[in-house]
Amino acid sequence: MSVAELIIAPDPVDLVVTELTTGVGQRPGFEGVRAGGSVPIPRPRRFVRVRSVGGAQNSVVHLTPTVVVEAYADTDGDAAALGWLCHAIMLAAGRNLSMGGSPCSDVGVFALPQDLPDPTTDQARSTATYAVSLRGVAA
Amino acid sequence: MPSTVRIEITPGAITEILKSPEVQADLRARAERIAAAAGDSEDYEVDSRVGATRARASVRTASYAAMKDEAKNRTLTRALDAGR
Repeated sequence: MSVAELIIAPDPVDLVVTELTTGVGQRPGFEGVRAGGSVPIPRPRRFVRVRSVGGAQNSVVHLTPTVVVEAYADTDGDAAALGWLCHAIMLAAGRNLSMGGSPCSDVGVFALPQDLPDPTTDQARSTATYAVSLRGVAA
Repeated sequence: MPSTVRIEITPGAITEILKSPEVQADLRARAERIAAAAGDSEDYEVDSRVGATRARASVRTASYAAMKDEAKNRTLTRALDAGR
């Protein structure tokens, strides 16, 4: 009896966090702004939170996780600026066919950056949703 | 010898399909699955309609609790996969 090969999917949050931390930190005016999978402690004035909220397995190796990118800042304007910068970085990653150093065949936009304050803290927040096409690798 | 395949699309036929009762029913069923996966029926509202070029269906939060849950936990966004 043959045993099916294990195909391990990359963690989409890790890849997007790496891509955004690198991309955002290189932009003038955004130095030191970091992305992560959770709200940092202590809470910085500006940060990006990446969340995985489902998605689809398209084939044995190809998957399209749905990822939410949340940009937090002190004001709606600053949150929007950070959100749109993240949006540009996400689209560029799709065109470069690489997300956080892993193959990425496409980045689809579910929802553009929009104003949605954090309901817990009322902090300004811009959120956008993406479908990131990734490949699993044989274990 | 290679054969030639010729495809002719009747003007308006695609729009007719996109607005057909079958497509409307499929979209409505998908939206209802998403709403059911998101939570209680009183918290999410399903709507379907036929537009100028296609049928559409939508799910939206119908209570403050559901709106807050979406803003905090992405509950409705996470339920989208139920509509695939």
